[in-house]
Amino acid sequence: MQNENKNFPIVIPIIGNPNVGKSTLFNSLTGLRQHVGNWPGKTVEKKEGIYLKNPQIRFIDLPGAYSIHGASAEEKITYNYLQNHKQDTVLQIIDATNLRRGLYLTLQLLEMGIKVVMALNLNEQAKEQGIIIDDSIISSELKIPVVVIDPVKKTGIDKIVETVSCRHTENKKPIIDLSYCEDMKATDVRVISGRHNFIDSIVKRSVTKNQVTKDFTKMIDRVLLNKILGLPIFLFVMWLAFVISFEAARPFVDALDFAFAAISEIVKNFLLTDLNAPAFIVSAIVDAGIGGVSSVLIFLPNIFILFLTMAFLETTGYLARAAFIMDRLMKKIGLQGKSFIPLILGFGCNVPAIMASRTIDNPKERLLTIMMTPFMSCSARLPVYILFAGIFFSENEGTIIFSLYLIGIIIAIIFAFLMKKIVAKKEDAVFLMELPPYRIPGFSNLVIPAYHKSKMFVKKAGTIILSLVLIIWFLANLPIGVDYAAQESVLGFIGTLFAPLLEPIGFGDWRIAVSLMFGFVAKEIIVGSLGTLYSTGGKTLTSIITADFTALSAYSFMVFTLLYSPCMATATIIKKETQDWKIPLIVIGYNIAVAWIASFIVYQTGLFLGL
Amino acid sequence: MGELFKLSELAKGSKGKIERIEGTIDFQRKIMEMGFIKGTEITLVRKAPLGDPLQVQLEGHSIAIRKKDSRNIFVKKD
Repeated sequence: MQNENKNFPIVIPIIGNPNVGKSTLFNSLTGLRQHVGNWPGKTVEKKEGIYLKNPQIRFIDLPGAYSIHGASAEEKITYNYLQNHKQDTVLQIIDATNLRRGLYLTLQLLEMGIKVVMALNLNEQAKEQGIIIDDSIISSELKIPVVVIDPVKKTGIDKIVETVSCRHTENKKPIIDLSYCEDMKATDVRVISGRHNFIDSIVKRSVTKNQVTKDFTKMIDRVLLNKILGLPIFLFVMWLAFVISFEAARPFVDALDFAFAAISEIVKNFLLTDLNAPAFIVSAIVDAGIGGVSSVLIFLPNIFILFLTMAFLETTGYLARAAFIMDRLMKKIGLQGKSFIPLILGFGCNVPAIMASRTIDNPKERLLTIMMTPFMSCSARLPVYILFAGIFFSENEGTIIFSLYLIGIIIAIIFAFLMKKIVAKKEDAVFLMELPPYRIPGFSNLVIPAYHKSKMFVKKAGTIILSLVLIIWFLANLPIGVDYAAQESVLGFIGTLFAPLLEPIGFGDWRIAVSLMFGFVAKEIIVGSLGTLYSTGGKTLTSIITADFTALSAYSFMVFTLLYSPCMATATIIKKETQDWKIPLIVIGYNIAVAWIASFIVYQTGLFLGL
Repeated sequence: MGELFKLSELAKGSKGKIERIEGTIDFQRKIMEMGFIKGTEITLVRKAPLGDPLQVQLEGHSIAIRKKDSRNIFVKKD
């Protein structure tokens, strides 16, 4: 059934093996005109974009697949889409350095009777490797149009769109001799061999390979995967990524902080003197609105740079090497190298990280990876660390923040160990992973994802966070007549109910209880709501926190924030990805328990030691 | 000539041709779809810094495979 996008006559799915330049092509076709939605009737993310030069053409970025019949969740998404859209014209991108594997997918598409247009990505790597391909032979053997492109230099892009829309209007089914798969299941080993024999005959006639002069990937691998240097370099890269994400953002954060304070002052004066607005309106707009939202928004530079760093590690090809290096250790805790990628991405945001677990095709390993991800300290928790560490540990802020990330990692490892003991696995699953060639990431590969993530963050600040801080402000003013943010307010009542539970871990203030409660919606709100609740009587958030916390209780609070629960969006995505609503509830349950116990240990040990 | 080795037994940097793949049907299918096909030239590039998995070169691409799984792949040395 193709009942979507009736107004748009042409919808072109883009398909390809992983790491063949699919996203680069998609980005250069659609630029920033992309949106991420859900598949109709399904709960899986769908990436769609409008062609820059003609809004009548839309592209869908299907997840990378080695095989239509593959076992990973990503491959299943691709399979299901194609199964339901057999009349579509598919744009398949093939990496010239991996022609055979690309053609394997082409044959599977043709077997399904799908119209294919091939974009042959003849990139720098192919030229470096001295590969020359006669695309006319591929075209005539498979009876499909083939266009040579270079998505980085943007050559052949117009032609591929023209070809694909042309093929779209034709109704001819592909016609080639596929006798090797007659009367057999598509997953039969003999069919797989049949495909490879066919491909062999095409490759032998269409590809010439010149003597390779230099292979940069091999040269770089020799250093980065070196027996002795490999591990230290890996640790150094991780450390560097961490430092860059924080240090580079600092001046921008300070500038934003300054700017927001100035804006807040100007707005306040304008409202009070020029408009003669009543004090409570001014309080709502300035204290709640601007105070709450700006306390979150100033961390935008951190978030942008963090995602930039993530995208850099991923698109250069280093993240796959990191997974390769880590496989041995991951195996010890019942996981595999591929699990390392979602866990690292979790430092950016748990939501895409949990989606990245789709490449793990063993269901148990995938579930365990998903369940561990919330322990990875995402960027939304960062505002809390920066605020509190900046106040109480300004001498060694970096070390303190790093220690929190480490606590998250250590607890995740302990958790995996326990799970391994509880859910005994018969044997390790197969771990097969491609190590893609190193690439110098294009501007679009880095900035576009970071831009989209930052946009989401700003949007969140302007919608969910703004409305929640206003709700908080409102509840803090009820019942009528009560002093703003007094304990007698409705909010104070709710907070006071839970505060005793937090007493033994060092922060029994009702306002903290409230901020943590609302923090479940989005962790940025913790700082946002503190900004709203504490910004009374002309005192700054910093001065009140300094008075209300000790260094020890601040650290305990950071540990609790790190561990206490995945946010609502993460819980939702866990439900979607596992197709089981019990899993997110279980995750929330043990996260709260672990957070409380960890903070209890930190706080009580600290008290005992006289800190 | 003619003697079969397990992929795991190849020396670092040496080449061979894939001759036979054993193991479960699922394993065979998965590995064949990644390009491990009879007759394909394969090079053992290196071990990971911690000793496992292995990095192998297969046609134009580089693949990580655990030692345990590589024992199911039999190659003929050139």
